[in-house]
Amino acid sequence: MYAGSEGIPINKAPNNSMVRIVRPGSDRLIDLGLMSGSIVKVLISMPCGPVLVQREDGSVIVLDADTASNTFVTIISAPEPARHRHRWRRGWRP
Amino acid sequence: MRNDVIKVLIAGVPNCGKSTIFSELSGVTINTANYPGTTVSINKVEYSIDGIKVSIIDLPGTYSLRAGMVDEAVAAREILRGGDYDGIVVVGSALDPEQTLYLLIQVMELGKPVILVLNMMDLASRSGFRYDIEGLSKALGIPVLPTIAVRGSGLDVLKNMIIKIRDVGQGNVRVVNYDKLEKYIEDLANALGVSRGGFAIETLSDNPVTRELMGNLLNNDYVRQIIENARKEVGDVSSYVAAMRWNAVRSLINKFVSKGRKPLISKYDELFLNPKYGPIISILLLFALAETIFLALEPLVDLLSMFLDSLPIDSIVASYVTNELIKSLIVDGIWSGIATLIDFIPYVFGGCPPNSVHRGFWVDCEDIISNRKVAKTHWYTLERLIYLIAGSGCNVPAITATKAMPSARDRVLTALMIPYIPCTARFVIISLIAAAVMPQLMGLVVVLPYAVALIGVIIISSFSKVRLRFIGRSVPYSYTLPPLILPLHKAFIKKVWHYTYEFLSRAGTLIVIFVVIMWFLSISGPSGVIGPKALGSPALLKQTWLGVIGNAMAPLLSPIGIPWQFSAALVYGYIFKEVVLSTLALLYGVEEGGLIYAIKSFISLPSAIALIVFTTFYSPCIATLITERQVVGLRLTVVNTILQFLIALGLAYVTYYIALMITLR
Repeated sequence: MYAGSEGIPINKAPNNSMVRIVRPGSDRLIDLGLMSGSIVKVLISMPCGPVLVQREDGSVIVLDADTASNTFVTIISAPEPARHRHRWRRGWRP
Repeated sequence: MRNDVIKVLIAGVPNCGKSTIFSELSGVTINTANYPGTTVSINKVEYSIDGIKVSIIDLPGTYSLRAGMVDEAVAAREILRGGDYDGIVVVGSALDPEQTLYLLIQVMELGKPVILVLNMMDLASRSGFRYDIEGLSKALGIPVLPTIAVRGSGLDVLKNMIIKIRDVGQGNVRVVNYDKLEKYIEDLANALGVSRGGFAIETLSDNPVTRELMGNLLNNDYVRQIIENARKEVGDVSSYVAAMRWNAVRSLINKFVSKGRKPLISKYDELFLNPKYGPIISILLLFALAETIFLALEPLVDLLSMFLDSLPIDSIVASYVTNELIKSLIVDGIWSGIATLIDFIPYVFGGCPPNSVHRGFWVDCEDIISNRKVAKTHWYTLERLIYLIAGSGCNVPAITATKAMPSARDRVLTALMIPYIPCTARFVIISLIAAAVMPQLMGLVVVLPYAVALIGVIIISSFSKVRLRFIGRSVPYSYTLPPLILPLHKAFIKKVWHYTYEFLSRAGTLIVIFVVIMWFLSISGPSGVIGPKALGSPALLKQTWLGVIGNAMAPLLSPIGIPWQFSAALVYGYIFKEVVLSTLALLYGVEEGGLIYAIKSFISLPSAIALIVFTTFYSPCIATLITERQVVGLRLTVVNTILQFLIALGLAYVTYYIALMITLR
């Protein structure tokens, strides 16, 4: 739905999405418990920039821009985009 | 016969309160020295309990023995090389048991006696963590000690455990089952002649530190064959080993740790990490902190200066010493050096809190600042904002504070950037020149140095994008976000005192020596020793070595209309920027109050603007240079100082001709 088997860089994943790591961007991520197959929540991601993710145990990991760009993930779930609601004469409608 | 001094290493994951524990274990004095061949500081203390001597070395924090950064490599090397220490105390955060156990397993596998300290137990309890300490201790086969370092809780027990560390034993080294890799680990350990299976595991994982320690032994055909076979069996050995270790960690956590539901991200984290408001709040907070510190310090610095000026050193020395040269050496050389050093103490002490707070607090602010798209172009400039803002007060504490940065490369780059920021002392000179030649544009002119300083900072920050051997390679800068804690406790005060003490002991001697050398250069010349009378006579001052150097610099600045008196006075700025104005007054034969009129008479508007630009950049004072040397090394300090001088000269010429064109119109 969101990406092919190679995945997308983690800093392209939307905020608050759950992702599965396909390929960690550096050996250091493995030492931080982020390996192929690990599931993490992307807290904040900036395109081409650093990313904050939350491990399954709750710890928050900061990925620098280079590591984030080289870390490929597949998105498991992403938050629904906010729908704009317009005020009509008779109350709120989607 | 065993050494009667118990030697212990303290290792741990970053931000777990390791330094606080070390600080609490130690007395008042902590010896800090650079690790051989690096600019990484290692703290060491020695004390005795009941007549038993203990020597403790505090290693830099690391997540694993496969280190990425220079600091981590120092810790990994010390642990892996299995020196003559008796055991290792592994300090971990009770808030992050996974990362703690991951490091602990690697240390335990080396077979040395290990004690596990789970610090921040109070925060962990509040966050809903429950530990089965006894069960964990039995499973690991080592003592596990819960502590709250900031309150000193559990540290007496730790002290007693350290004394008995030789009796601890090596613990359960087979806590991880490497399955298919086990036979290769055994074969390799035998082939390398090491009893430590952990060393063989790290070698199989291609750990760069073990590779370095093994040297030519890795070229042995049999050893290479084992490594090759292991690779064939499991593929990527490094990932396989890490996966097995993480499995063991999770198994231990499931058995002995229960976690609450309280989220690890606090409301403050959410505030600072907010993509919309976080950066603005962070920048305002950083700026407010730096400004508050330096505003609060101003009266203290003034008071200290007044006190030093009021001391009748002249008359005290005169009552004991009659020889004019020796008297001048003591008063103008040694005492002047000591007074210079004392003047810096408030700045260093005041600059230390951000240093100590950094890892626990500012990390959030820095992350969010660096998250912005605008930071992509000059990422290092924005990320290091706190240090650059601090540098505008005084470069010395700002450079000292960079020691808190985990990445050696970032530390070096930031320490190289800071001298480009004009400190308050340089700013006083700039303000006086501006007030003399263009009082109506004073507001605009005082902004000029900061605008110009940005050019220097951007030049240095651009180094981060190219691969420069002398700065070091780019390393991944990923880490676990530490808990947001305001460190208002006794250990924090002790840490601030330690930073100040470290500055005094390491930089102080060099500063005093340099001031004495400058004194000698200002009372002697090519014709020999002129004597202290040269310090009060413009004509004699011109004949001294400093006068000669100042005159040598004059041809560089005279084409842009800057008189030789300024060149000579700026040379004195290498000691302390405050003496530039008094030297200038001496050279023009006026009181300091009349300096404005002297400058107005002898310098044109374009030259004054060029002089402001030159003063902004040309060089920091000796204390800054010595502190810079501690962080980046001698070679880079020399390179950066020459670069600063050349940029200052180039920009001064450019500014002069632009100003000339504008004023001619």
